[in-house]
Amino acid sequence: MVLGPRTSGEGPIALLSQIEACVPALRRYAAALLRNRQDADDLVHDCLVRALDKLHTRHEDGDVRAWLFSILHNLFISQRRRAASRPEHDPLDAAEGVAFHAASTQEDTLRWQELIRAVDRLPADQRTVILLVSVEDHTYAEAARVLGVPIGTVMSRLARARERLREMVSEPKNGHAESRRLRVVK
Amino acid sequence: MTTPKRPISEDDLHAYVDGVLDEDRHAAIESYLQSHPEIGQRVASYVAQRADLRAAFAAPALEPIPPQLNLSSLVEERLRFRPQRWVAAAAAVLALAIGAGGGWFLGSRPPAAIATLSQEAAAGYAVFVSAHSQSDASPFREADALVGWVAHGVGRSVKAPDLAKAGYRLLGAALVPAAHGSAAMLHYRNAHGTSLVIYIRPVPAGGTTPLEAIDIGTIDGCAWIDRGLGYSLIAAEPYGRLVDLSQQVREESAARGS
Repeated sequence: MVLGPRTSGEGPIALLSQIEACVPALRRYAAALLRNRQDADDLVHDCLVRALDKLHTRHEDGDVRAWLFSILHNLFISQRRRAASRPEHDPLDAAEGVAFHAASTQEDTLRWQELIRAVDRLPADQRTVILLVSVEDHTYAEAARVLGVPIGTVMSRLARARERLREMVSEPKNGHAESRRLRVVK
Repeated sequence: MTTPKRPISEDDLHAYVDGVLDEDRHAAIESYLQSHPEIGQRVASYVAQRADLRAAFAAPALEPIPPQLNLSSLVEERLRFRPQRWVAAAAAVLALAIGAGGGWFLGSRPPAAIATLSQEAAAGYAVFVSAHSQSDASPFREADALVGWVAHGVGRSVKAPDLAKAGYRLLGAALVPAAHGSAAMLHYRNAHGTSLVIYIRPVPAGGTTPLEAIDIGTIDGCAWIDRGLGYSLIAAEPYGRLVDLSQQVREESAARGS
């Protein structure tokens, strides 16, 4: 099947396929940032529309995923700036209402909810870094590009985010959490 | 003990957690953590935290993509939006053309499918050329890259014919609403500034028909159906030349075998 004027691996159709492949990750990241699935999908929608607008001015050398995430990040920042005057919703309530995970066990679910609430309490700069690196598997260089900061800044935010999350959630009240950790570490 | 060991940094610990160290460095960190249990415990908790974060936030990426995030639809919307003014004008001309009745065709009466196809193409061409004859840029230039994707999205094989040998260069393309779904409008121009438009859309009745001459007033064109795809080619060229060009397009698509 012939698809269009240019069908080479580097052509626009390949590029659009790459964009399409990033949509699930964009949804995950937007949902983690916004805590509301509808708002998150609206943000991803705006991101894709913007990407199609910029398709023809895009530099060919860059990585598609980092390019898309940086578009989404910039939209998120300007959206947050616009919303700054409005009262912020309570992230604690929102975390309860949003299903981010298929519950496997009651214990997992509770732990994940606690973790999500803890991520909410991180400063925004640390939250974006730990989501990009830990959840989205971006390299440090990629995360730096998405956020428009030096790699050193990514590293220090990541270190602070991890330590802060650890303090917030992992102090074991009994031996339970400890044994879980050993299990996960392999 | 050949080279002195590079000191362990906090960055190394995080690179270890994220699994991005090379083998040697990974092993070095591992043995360091074993000999420093407190730091080892902290790093182990980061590793567990990373796994928990991934699990906790995983769901949205595993769900089916909702319709409003379907990339093919977004591309199609965009193509429809851009030439909107043009499409509205074309629709008006098309209405006039249909109202004017049967004065469109020379020779024997073509099948109804060819008639509709030609009217759509002619209407588009008329508005297109009158609106953009002075400008060097095609109004559809930006859309060029996207047509193939849309064609892909609707499962049709549409390729812009290569008319370089005849001196025509593809300037751009647009997807436009048509009587039966979407149509591709391809815009070519030669060195003398002559515009040529090829209009392609599926014909539900299907089949293959011979070339038909179509007359859209001051300009001639050809129309035909090739294995369920309707084609119309229009340009301000002598009729004989249009037939040559149309044959070229037809042979090219036959050679591709779609």
